[in-house]
Amino acid sequence: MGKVIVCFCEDVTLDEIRKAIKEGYRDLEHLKRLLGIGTGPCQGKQCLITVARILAEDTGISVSEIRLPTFRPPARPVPLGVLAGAGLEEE
Amino acid sequence: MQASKKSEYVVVGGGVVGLSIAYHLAKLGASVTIVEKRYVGSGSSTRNAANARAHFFNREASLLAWESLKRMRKLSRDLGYNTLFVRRGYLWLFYKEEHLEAMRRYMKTWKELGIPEGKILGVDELAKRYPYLNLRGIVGGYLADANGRYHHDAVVRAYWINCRRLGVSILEYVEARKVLVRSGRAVGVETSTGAFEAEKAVVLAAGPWTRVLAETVGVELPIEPIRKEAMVTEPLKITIKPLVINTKVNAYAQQTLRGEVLLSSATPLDVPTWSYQHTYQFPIRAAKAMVETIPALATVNWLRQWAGHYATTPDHNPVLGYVDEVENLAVASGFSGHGFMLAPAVGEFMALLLEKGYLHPVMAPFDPGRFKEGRMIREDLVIG
Amino acid sequence: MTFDGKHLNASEKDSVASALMKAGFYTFSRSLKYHRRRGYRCGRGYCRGCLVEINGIPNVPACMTKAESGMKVRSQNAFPSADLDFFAILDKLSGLASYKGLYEGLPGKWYVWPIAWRFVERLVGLGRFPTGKGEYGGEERYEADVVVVGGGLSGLAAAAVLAEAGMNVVLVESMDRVGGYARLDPLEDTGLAEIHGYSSPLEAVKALERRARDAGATMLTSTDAYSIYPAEGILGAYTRVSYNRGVHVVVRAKYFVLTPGSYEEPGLFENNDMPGVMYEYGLRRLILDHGFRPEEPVAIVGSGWRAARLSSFIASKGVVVEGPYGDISSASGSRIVAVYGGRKVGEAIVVSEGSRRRVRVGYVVVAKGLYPAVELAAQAGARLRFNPNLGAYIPEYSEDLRILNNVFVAGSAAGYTSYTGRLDSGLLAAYSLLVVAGRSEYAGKAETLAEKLRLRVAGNG
Repeated sequence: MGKVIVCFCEDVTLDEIRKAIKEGYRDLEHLKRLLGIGTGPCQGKQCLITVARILAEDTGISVSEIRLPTFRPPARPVPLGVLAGAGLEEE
Repeated sequence: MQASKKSEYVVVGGGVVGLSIAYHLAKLGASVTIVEKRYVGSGSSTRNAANARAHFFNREASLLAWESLKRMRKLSRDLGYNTLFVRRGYLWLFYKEEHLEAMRRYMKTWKELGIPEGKILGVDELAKRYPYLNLRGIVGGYLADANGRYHHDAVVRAYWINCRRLGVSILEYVEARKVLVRSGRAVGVETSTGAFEAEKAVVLAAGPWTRVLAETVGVELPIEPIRKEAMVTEPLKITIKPLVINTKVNAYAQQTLRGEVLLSSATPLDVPTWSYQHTYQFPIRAAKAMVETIPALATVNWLRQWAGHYATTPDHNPVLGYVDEVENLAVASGFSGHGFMLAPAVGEFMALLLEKGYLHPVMAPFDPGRFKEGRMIREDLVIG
Repeated sequence: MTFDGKHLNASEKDSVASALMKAGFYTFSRSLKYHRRRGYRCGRGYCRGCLVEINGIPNVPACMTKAESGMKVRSQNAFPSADLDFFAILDKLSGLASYKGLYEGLPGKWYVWPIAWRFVERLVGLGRFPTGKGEYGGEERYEADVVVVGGGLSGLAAAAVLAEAGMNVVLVESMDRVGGYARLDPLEDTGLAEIHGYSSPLEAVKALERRARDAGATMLTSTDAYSIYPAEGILGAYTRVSYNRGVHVVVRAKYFVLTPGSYEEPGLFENNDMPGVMYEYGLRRLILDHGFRPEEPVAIVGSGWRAARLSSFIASKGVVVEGPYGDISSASGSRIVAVYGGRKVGEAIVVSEGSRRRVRVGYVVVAKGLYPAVELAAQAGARLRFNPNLGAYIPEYSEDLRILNNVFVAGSAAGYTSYTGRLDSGLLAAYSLLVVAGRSEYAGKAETLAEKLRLRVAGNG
């Protein structure tokens, strides 16, 4: 059977997520740290909601009760050279 | 999950320190309950930079760190779970001759203590080994190659799984509010879901919140939550193997085991605060420092920044053991940025103290009473 | 330019991604863990599927980079080439390790793991360590009354109203031109035509852009907003000048209007990551901006008005359309459950009411739901709330579209997905902001619009 990819950056499949949930990883944060979902180059823009829905479906928790990981900068990747060229107020 | 409200030990804090203590207690046959206010690992354990070293700038901390490093190296074997320790080494880059001289003196001390002392590298040697470094202004480097990286999430999971295997009850999203004391003895913990009784002892391994919980029974611990920030980039094939430390501005960079470049830097915003709020200035400062040190990083894309706490004490050393004021109340906190790397040894030594009454000599200097009695341990360089 | 050493031609209109695809290269790189094929998907730089190495600089999004002659483009994480990658065997072997992947999932015992690591250590990471040089440096600083993040229909509407009211407006847009999703939709929209008098979404953005510019709004294109600090009045951003050049941008503003739009919901079916499977915006951009003619037939995965409009659009270009189909998350109807192909998708397995058939496809375009871009709102401190109509999270906001004292949200990022909803919410954010800024003469307009939007609940279009 072919893979159904949910997290495209870290190559995490629907099957892998379901197995992890079955094994007791019932928190987005635990799934993220176990499987790497949302930690790749797109930072969860494509997978996070799908994973939240799967988690809700498989555990019977309502989606609105699922705790989301913290959103942190950057909203889009930035080359370090651009940051290094930035000014700072106190300088 | 069915939670027993009574056990021999209640450990507050489901971070790596609490898990390690619980694991070692359970291994000695004790019954343990861990209460964690968020999810397992949610504090500093998932926010740390995943490096371990033995080289500290005083004897006491070096010995404890060396004991822990030895255990971290064989953790996969002991826990039966791949926690992956890779000897990447720490590379300190120095910009002043006197710092290099000081390092030579420390090397003698470490050698006396039986810790692999590492080596000084001249500028030519640095250029040959690490062609990606910009060596302008650098007078030499110190490579401590016994040190290395582990997979921090795997370490947390390895302890977690082993705790569960040994029957430790681990309760997530249960917040400890108050230590319960009866006639001068700690007998349990009041939490968001009721009281948990501890027959033998209550152990506070709650990072900076340890101070807050100790205060509920009038115990004062000088532990401050100092915010520290870190950031990672998109993953690259692994090239920067050692943890490269720019000692001029106290910043570092290294590739994680997944290939991301992890950067951190001291900033004026490393202040006492409970907030995990990230700052605008941090990524700019860290990027400035490390792009200067490793110019190729300029083209690498930054992906995420985050903030965590260093539970910091006045002498930058941990607080380990029973408190004097309340019987059966023990603490393991105040690691000042080194809790994760010290967890393997601290868990074992704390369990020996609690269950066997044996105070390991390596842990003895870190007793909570030292601040009141003015026996401080000096630690001048906090990095990695 | 060259790709993995092979020469190819690119036109003025081409991005690196479109030039590669026109030349028949659909697999740009290999994925991180299983070395599966990766290529063009979103057309907006966020999905990071099209990352390539250009002149020694790793992880460059090919869809956001103008093709230039002399560029040396290389595939990433592939050996010897993107199409013929030895390590693709990992995809086949993945069943041997546990689902936990490369480290923890390794089979065997503790003494095997360090030895295995020696091999795994060479595999991790995407791009090579940089050998090329970038030219970065400098900072552009802007002082504004309002910064608008996102130059789509709602952002442009807000910017036009605010600038015409005399506010000093800076608008930050990630793409190389404003207009967002609406710019790529030239067909008539009855709602827009009847209510606002614009003949199409494209005409609406043209008109609104002109209004905003005429009123003096500053438009920063190719500029990604990456962080927001409303209390300090700071927006951190960066302008992509080219694949190896960029400038840091700081906008200091009193008010923030967040209209960053949405990401697209991925399709769920076997091999849904195969090159040739892309999101709606990606296909529209290829056709309209890069003059790309997709191989027929183009199968659509999705439902509702978006899928219908997309179908008409593709057909209007004389390209044969199949579908729309559902995917494995659909309860009923014809659904694509798998796609197969070689270098790119070639056929789809369509299941409907017990029957299962193979359908030849040139491309598969996913136009399912929209995932509002909530990053900046969440960073700013907004609480996120799951919207069941949308099947996604949106920031919590009050009736005047405010998420914080000085931060407003509008457009599809606020859950308004129809064109009229997007436009009206952009206008309402602007009027509300003006009222908050003390311009009470806009209170009436804000009131009327709020009433109108109340009837059209977010997530229902």
